[in-house]
Amino acid sequence: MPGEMNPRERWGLLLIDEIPDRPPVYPLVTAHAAAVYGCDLTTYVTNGKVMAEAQLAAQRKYGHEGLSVFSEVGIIAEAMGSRYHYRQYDVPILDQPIIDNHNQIEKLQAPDPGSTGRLSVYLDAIDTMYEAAGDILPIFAFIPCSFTTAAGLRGVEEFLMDTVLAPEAAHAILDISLQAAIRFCDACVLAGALPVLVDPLASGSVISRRTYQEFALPYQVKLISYLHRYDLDITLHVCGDTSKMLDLIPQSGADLFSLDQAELPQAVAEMGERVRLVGNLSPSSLLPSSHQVISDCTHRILSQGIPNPKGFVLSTGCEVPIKCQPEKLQALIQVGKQAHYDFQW
Amino acid sequence: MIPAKQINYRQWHELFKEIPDERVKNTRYYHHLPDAEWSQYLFPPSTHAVYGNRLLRKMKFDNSPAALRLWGFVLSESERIYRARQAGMKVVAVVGDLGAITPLVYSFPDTVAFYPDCLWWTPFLMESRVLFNEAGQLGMGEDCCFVRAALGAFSKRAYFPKPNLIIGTVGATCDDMAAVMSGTEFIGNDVYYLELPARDTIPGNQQRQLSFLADRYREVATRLEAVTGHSFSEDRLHETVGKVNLIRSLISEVKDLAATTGPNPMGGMEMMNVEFAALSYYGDLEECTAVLGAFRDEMKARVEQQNGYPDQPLRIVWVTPPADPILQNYAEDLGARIVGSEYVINQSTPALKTEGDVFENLAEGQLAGSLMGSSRFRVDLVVDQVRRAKADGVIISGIFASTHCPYETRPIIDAVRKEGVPVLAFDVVAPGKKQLQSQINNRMEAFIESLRMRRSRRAG
Ligand code: SF4
Repeated sequence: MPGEMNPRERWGLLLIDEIPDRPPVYPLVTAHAAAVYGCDLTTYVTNGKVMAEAQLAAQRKYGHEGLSVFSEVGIIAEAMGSRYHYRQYDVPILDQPIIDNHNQIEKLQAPDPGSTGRLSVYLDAIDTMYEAAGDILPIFAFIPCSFTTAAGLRGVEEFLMDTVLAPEAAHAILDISLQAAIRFCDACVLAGALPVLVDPLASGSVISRRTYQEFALPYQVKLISYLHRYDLDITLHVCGDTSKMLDLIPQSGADLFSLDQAELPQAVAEMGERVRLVGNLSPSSLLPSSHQVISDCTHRILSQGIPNPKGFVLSTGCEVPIKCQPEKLQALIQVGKQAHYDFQW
Repeated sequence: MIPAKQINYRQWHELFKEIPDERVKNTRYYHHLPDAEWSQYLFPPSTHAVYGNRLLRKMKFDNSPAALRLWGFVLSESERIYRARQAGMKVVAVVGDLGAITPLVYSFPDTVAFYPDCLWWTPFLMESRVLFNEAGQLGMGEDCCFVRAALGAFSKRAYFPKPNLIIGTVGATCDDMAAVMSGTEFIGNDVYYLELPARDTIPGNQQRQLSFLADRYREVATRLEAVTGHSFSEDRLHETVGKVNLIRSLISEVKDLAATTGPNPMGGMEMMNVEFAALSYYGDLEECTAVLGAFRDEMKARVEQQNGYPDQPLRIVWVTPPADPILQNYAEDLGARIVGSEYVINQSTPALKTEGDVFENLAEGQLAGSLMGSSRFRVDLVVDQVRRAKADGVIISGIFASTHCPYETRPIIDAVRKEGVPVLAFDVVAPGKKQLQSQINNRMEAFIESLRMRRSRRAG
């Protein structure tokens, strides 16, 4: 229909503090795309072309407003030497971390994204998507922040212990993880994607506010300021409960915050003048809830998010479950697309 | 001095790391506003590619910081216009007059102008048919010049803010642009029309025309008073004309430098960006002057030191702006360099008079435009460039189905051939038509190869 904005246009306005016709509708459709496309998860996370085709197929089916390049948060740690276990029906999980004693830290290197591990899967996926639809759809590459990669290099429990018992070693792992993230971000940007930084291990569900301030936040700051030098608008996604650290999030410099288990009104109050909010229908509610419940929740979220002064994106709090029934996701998207700002051109 | 080179977007992404942080931070527009991060614009092409300007991944760019600054300034124009409105400035869209009215607009405080017509290169830059499809849905299809992208942009409401005033110049200008204006009005925008007389060369008629047009400009000034809330000031217009003349002289100087007999000091697309700055100063008159000043300094130093691109010996005059920026890159890759151009905006480069009636001076500038009046005028402009630049060949990149430019292609070809200079003329292919594009590439290859052989034959 003439006069209708496309996703690229809508996001473009949001990112320069303009009001689009309505908030972009961008549920985090990641591995769920494999289910739509009909491929197994091992293929999805190891073949960039398949990941791209699956993403494009899911986007055609649902009409959500962005493509997501994501396998799992261990992608950098694996390229640096940790071993991951691939599964046919779920995303890879950490099998064997590369660091089992601190002497190994100095041997770590920031991997070459073109030739190491599965990093090139992302680059192939981005390249294919960009060629196919980059003029209309923004492409987001989900890149783990240092804290999460460090946990993948050392093992989650060991790394959390390090933050208490061997903080210098923890920082050394974080430093090299940061270098790796920067290198990977650069490659994704050159392929045509905007980085979305994910730091699930830095969640209030896993660590304390103090640990976040000392070990996660400073590296988020460094990574975001590196990307800001290129004038890129950066989304920070932290899964789980972030309600006790919402006031700290703006310090990271993130332009958008994708929140999971925190109250949207609280986030609006804490950071709405500075940060665009992305959220936050609970992904788990997409499984058991009725069409009506999803629709009601989406309406509630929209009414809370739309007033955010810096802007709002309707999304899920975390990844759409692999086995989500399409009608459930469609319910969310349908309601989202009926929303509107009181926009007078 | 760093050797002049054309590099790709990957190389600029790396090279950008060497640019000091302070320089990145301090390269800003709208200096009269409080320091805001959004006003920085010194960023590499990769930044703009991520936001959908896909062609940048295929293009080559000059490797100087001055050229990067120019690109950053040009590519940030859309955001700049939005920021202007957010900061409370008035935004005036000027359609169809190509540079004549903007000094008047900028003479009003806190007022900026932009040319929606210039969106015609957006579909090429994004390798996208979105704006053309939008215009098509509104009844303007492939039987209109690429300038129809502007109608698509008006309809989409996502490429520039709603202008406080749209000034549409009609009459002795281009029909395609006039059609875009009426389409714009049709979808609900108020257009303030301004009638241009055709250039008349009969001596007695000239003064009459001048007075007629000067009166129209007086009316525009009154309209601008209503829109901006400021009264017109002749002193401010004088001051603005002084600044505009500085920009115009910088452009002329840069064009002369590009025609040097030494190695090619600059890329054709950078040169085109410089030339088009004459239209609306890309939305910030002061910063535009600084950008062009730094660019001129770079070129001057290069010419003095014979620092240019190697392997581009063949001298080309380019006629009609190539909506598709990759075309000039392609010619350069094949060994050509752009030593002259006729982009239908030549009237926006000569200095405006500063003595006498301010409105008549503006009118005189407008009446020198190659868009209006006989084709002979434009033909002579091209021939003059060919002679001055000692061109080996001329490339005319026409626009399929447009009503204006194509009619001048034939007489230009005839006149240039009479000069003994070969000409290649083709229609630029809209995005998404790969096979047609490869035909154009073949023709360019053959043409440039023939120029090369001609040269070596002449050399003995
Ligand atoms: S036909 Fe020529 S003059 Fe008219 S809008 Fe197109 S390019 Fe400009």
